[in-house]
Amino acid sequence: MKLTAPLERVLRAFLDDPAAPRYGYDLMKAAGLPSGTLYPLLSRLETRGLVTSAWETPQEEGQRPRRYYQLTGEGVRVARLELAQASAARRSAPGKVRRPAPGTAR
Amino acid sequence: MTGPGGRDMDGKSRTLRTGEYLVSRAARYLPPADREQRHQEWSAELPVILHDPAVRPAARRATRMLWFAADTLRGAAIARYTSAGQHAHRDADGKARDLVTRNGLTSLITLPVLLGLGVCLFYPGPSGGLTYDVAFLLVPVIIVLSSLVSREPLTLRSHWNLWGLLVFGTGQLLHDLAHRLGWGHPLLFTVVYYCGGAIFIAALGFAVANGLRSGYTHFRKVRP
Repeated sequence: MKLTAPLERVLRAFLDDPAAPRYGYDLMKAAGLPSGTLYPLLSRLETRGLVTSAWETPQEEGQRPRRYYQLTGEGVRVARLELAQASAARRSAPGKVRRPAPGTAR
Repeated sequence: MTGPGGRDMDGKSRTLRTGEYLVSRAARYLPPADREQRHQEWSAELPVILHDPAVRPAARRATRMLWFAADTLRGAAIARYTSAGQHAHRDADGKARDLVTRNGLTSLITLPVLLGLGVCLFYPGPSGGLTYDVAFLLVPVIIVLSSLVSREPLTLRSHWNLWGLLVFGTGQLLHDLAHRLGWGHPLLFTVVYYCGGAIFIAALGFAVANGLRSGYTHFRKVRP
């Protein structure tokens, strides 16, 4: 699966806490992606078995159940591998201005 | 019937109902097996966004919720056109047949029309510019009809281009008709004409920008 910029953001958002279930809106905020980009991406990840989804049990009567997403074991492995390769490729790219990753600048 | 504060009798605000309408439209683009679940999923996110305590003020939450719904509609529409195009291309023979049919039919009919347009530019004839206007309008109509015949779906950008051409051409035709027949208020048709032109130019601009970006990305990959 080609690692595009939106996919990279989504995988990083998932890997912040791989075991935690994430709602679509939470992933949107964490990855900084619009819904029209995020949901087709999640659908493709689910088709490839890298992400699973499930419906939550409503806590209150009348509350609409929300769907949450979680990386599978294979998804965690693939995500870490792809992100590591992407980071290595950026470090080894010659003549590029190296910018710190968001949140790591000192 | 609405109660105080712009809420209907179910207690939902107009904003929320607008968001629900947009996600219901988005769900229609999906395959029947996915439609209901996705609709429920997207609908469930709307009140969460609308009442997100981390986002202030309320107007910003409402805007974010509406943007969520509208962009979901955009994504579903694009995904539908993309997947439809992919399905049309799975069968290589079908692909060749569809392209030949659409491009062949389009060329067969459009080329004489374009030649006629060129002639009309220099010699409008007794009807003046009206012949040119009608011929101009025929181009997007022909493209749509040939797409229907070949059953190969047009991309979303093609739809924007075609609608822009149609509105542009209709405005131009009505403007010239109004001028010729002495109707009042040809200004309205001029506005239609320029709006259509703007839609067409914007869609073309996006197409050119995407093409340049793809070309640049490809150039960077192949450069030693």
